[in-house]
Amino acid sequence: MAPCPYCKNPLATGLRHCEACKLQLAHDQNGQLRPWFPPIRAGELVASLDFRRDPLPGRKDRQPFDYKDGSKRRPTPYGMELFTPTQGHFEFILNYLRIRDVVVRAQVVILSPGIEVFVGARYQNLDSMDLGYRFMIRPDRGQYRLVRIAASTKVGSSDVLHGPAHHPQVAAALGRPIVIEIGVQGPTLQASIDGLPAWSVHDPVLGTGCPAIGGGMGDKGEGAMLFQWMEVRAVVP
Amino acid sequence: MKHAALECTHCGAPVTYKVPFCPYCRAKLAWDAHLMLQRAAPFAMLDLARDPLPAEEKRWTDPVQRPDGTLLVPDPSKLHRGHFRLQLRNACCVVAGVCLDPHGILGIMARMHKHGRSACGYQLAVYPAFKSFRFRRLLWIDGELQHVITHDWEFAPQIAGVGQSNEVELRAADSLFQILVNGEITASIVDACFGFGQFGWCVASESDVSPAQVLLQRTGIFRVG
Repeated sequence: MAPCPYCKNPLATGLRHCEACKLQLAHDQNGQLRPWFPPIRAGELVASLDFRRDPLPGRKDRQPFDYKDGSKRRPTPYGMELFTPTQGHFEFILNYLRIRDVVVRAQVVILSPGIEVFVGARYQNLDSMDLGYRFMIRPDRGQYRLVRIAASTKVGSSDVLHGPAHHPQVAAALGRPIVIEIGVQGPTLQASIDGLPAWSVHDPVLGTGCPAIGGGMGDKGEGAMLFQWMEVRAVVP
Repeated sequence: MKHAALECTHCGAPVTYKVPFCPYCRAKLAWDAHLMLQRAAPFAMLDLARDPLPAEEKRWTDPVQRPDGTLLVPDPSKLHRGHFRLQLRNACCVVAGVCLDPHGILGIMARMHKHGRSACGYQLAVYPAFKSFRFRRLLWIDGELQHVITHDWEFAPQIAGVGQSNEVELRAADSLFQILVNGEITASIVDACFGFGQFGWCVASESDVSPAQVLLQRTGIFRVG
């Protein structure tokens, strides 16, 4: 019996999915069983935030704010700008919206090399710790990746589900607006860039949670990013 | 719907509980108000008087195998756990045992998933001294434990007391969990947070000062039918 490509458990003969992790399989042109990911289609608008007038998710106002580490959040006529002088990520979680199957998309402008931004889904909070999925892009390297993160105020760990992989749209995104999107439906995750699907993966570990956006410096140094808008949509057949 | 297996009636693909349509064939799905999960064919069944315990996550005390089971003595305020090697999404896990001390707890770990320095999963705990049970989500990062209680301590008359055998069973299918104690359904919980991982047993001492003796008699992991 062949092992499941995701969980390595043996696949039962005749079944089109893995009994253990529920990965759906289909035969390719060569007759080999391959993972089959359903396309995730965005439907009805659930929430929409325009950062020219709305605060970032989880924040109550658009007032300028200085963090202890020297990072700054500044409202601008084009959106909300975030400046960070150190390595690390900020995350802004839409806490009131706990949803399983969802498409989260945001338009961002990355203003400096070294900056990574992400859209997140299924963010869960357990006391002072967070879990969630992130679709991250880093334009100075032209790369994107899909990760599952677990982080506390002291430490963080991440499991890379796909990537880092090169994408031409990401490589051209420094200094110009780019729309990044993560869709989650059952155990399938789908990442899209500027409306075009980039990659799909299977990960059944997290089942529900809140949408999020965020970003920060991937390396040492300083940089800035601008969040323009974010929307959360339900999935449709 | 094929209730227990959570499969689409149209194409047979796995679907998540209460979703309005199958993501693969896009057919509309209808759900009954109540869904009863069943224990099906076994993956593994262990008689702990004879078989070794499934791999222990952390060994605080050496288990003692006796003719009536395996005796564990968890330290004060410590959780002692072990898992079957198989990682699963839908499964039914059974643990039978006797708490020999009033502060002893036995239960089931479900969908324990480790990555890097963190681990997450569910815990069902049964406290025979108070005939009560609790279901919670756990997350460890660097050994530090955080939890969110999904179902707080609640009395259930079918739980046997200290010194008596309890068979604790947790049936999990997608986001639906059903808790059975001594063959009687005790609670039905919907929680979609963690979807995949290892199943196993746990014992603990609720006392801050003294360890507890817990005798595990048998454990097993089954398909959900």
